[in-house]
Amino acid sequence: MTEPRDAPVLEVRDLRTYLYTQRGLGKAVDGVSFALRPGETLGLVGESGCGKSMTALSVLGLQPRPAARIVGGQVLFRGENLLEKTPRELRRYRGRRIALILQDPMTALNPVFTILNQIAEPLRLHRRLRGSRLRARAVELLQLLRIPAAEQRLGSYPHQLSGGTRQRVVGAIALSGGPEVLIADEPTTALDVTVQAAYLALLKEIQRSARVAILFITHDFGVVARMCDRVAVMYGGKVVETAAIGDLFDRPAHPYTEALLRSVPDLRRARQRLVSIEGQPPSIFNLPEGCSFASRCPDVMPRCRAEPPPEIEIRPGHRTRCWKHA
Amino acid sequence: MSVVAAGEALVRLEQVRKHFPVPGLLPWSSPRGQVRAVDGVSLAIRPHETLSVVGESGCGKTTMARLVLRLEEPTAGRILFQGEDLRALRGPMLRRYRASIQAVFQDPWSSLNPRMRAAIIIAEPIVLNQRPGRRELAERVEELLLAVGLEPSAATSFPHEFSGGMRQRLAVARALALRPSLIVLDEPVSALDVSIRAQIMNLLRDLQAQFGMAYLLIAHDLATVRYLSDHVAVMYLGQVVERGPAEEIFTKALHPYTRALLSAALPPRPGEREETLLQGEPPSPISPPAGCRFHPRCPLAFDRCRQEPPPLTEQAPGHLVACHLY
Repeated sequence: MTEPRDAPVLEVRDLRTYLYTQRGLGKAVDGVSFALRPGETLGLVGESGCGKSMTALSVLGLQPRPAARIVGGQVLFRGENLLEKTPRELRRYRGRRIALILQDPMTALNPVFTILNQIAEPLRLHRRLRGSRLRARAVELLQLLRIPAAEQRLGSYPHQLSGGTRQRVVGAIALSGGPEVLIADEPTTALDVTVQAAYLALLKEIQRSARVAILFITHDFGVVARMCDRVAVMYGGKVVETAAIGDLFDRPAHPYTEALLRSVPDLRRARQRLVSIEGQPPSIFNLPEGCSFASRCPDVMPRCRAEPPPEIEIRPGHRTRCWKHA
Repeated sequence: MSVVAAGEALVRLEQVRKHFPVPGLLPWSSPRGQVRAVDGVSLAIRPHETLSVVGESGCGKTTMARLVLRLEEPTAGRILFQGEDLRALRGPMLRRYRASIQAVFQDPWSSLNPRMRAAIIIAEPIVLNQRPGRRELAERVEELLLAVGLEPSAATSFPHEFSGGMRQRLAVARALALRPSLIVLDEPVSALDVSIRAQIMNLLRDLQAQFGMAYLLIAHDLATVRYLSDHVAVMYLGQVVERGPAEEIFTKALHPYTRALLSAALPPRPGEREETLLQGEPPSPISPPAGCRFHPRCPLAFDRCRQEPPPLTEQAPGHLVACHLY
């Protein structure tokens, strides 16, 4: 290790991924920057269409082609810009150094291959394992994910497993390459509450032992509260606020974050009225001139509609894009 | 066996069972077993109140909703609507029943006909059940649009022109059109964005205060349930394991499963709660475990739990639990 301890493993700078479609130009990711340090969990939070998944896919060069194109920015993995890599070079990163867990384990697994088959693929490609050593490693991985009767499960097909077990298999495949970064895109949204709780606890534990950094994409502040060290809140293709977890919940700076936090019903409080955000998120095909939250913002000022707010550091490690803090 | 106190119930379920045969391997082979989706449920829905049914996927909550909507016939037991057995309803009586019970489903992308304009979607139930004049119909459609917070000008739009939240408002307007005495809400906000959920939940509460119908709310998200409910029933593998007034369930939960559900629900703020994690997932409803159905996952199970199923017993006024601990 020549780098200082706190140097980010993954740094995204001013990433822009645009969609070229019949409806026109959609600015799905419009200047996103964040840094992920070794061993930490960064939450990328936002509603559907805010660009969080497109950001994740762009990091791995998996944005849906030909409609989506990365038109600017850098994706630095240990200082190397992945956007300048050839497809062949990229394949040495995907699955090996940066792994991905998607939302729906049913579609992430191939229904016609056994579990062994699907875990074996990355182990052969990235770890060059064969025969009995490959099999032993596959069992180890399933056990790491606490899948009961791991040995027998190797011969199962995805449809024979429950949703939670399937997502654990996906997790085992993701960890098979020994990644330094794990991108988890809504990994528990399709799971039941009790199953979700167990999966999140397991993920946290594995992260600690494997020292893997997680980019956790979610729309759920409950998941954020349980999993993340730092959070980046996205709205309309931009990161509008970045903060350490405690700071974000105690002192949200952006009106969107504040409203979002207050609109989540609290399990411990009885039927008080919820604070709701009126209106809809903007369409990426028709983003407003100034701040994209301006039309829904309770604290809107004339300036907000005219020019987009710059990113402002309001205290160390806490940044926001809002004119209120300028 | 406790049956719900007679009298004031709008809809009453008495020992309702719904079993689905599992087809054999070939079309003509005999069934391989029965899925006991709902297995002996007694509940009452009172006028003007909200009864919530919570549980994980496969617990039978949606089948229960379909039974109340009479989209399914119970295998055994009775469902009474204002004292009359649903199965006995025929012809005009059945039509009247269907008019007084409406439904809002989870996904407003599939529950609205994409080829109908908003006005027709709302007007259809009115036209089919009553014979209003053209003028009156237009007035009522406008009233309904306003009641759910949509602009009257939305009447000529098609569903695809609306966002998710607006579509769900439209679905609510349609359900409201005949002034039903009960609306079945099957996961009404879980397909919506976080910032939109609070809008719809507030709307549902306001409409109940204004029009006075009862809700049967099917949900897995406990925070949503707490916000909207008067009474809560917790289901596990086709059976009600605990039911009672919402505040009791949320503050003095008795059944280990209810407590696990509550602790698995995500904290609204970071680092607040210790959790009892449940291992595993609900077993198959085709061959539920003997004794208490929860015993294989229960941290407190003892011998008796493995042998005899616990009856529902009243622990506090109106608060019933099926557990040998009590």
